[in-house]
Amino acid sequence: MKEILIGNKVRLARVAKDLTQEQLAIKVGVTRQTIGLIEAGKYNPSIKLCLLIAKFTDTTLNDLFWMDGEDDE
Amino acid sequence: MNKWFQIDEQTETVSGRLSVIFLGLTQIGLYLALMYQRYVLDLPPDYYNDLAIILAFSVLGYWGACLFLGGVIPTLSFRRAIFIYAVICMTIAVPHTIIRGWPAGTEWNSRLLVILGLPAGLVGGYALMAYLGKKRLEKIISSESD
Repeated sequence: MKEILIGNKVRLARVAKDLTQEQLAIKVGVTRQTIGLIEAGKYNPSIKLCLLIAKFTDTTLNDLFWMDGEDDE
Repeated sequence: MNKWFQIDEQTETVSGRLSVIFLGLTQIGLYLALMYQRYVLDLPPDYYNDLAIILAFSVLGYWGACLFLGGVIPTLSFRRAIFIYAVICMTIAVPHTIIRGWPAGTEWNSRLLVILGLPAGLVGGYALMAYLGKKRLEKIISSESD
């Protein structure tokens, strides 16, 4: 099964809005750890959370997330 | 949101995966304990009936709910259900007869209950939950597309 890797710019968008992980986490209603995991590419958020992050960082989904490539392994 | 006990989608995902793993381990542990008491210690049913009830409730409840809420498990055609029923009956009957021998006259009812009744319950329960789960999802999808 092909593994699709999701790249993201959540950290850049958050820093551009001058938000800490904790502040963004409170705004979108998750834990700081979840924001950290998303930024590190270790957790794929739900579409609802993606939209909330995009809303509170004044960006779009296309700006924040993209398919990094495909891995056959 | 309670700061001391925060649950979000990421923690739900992790706890969901861990729950499945530990539920499986618990069910296997209960099954092994049951088999040990039944076949190694050769205890009468009064000693392990409580374990059997808990195990049956856990396994049937979990898989029943999965089938119903998932709704993507294949539903069984009548022919396939009969075939699977026959295979399960044979899988139980052959080892049972080899281990415990041909049943005596008074044992036939209880032996047939295990060999024919248990698979009927399993296949019937599976078919029912898969059918209801599929109907449930189809109803949700059709109401969303209206």
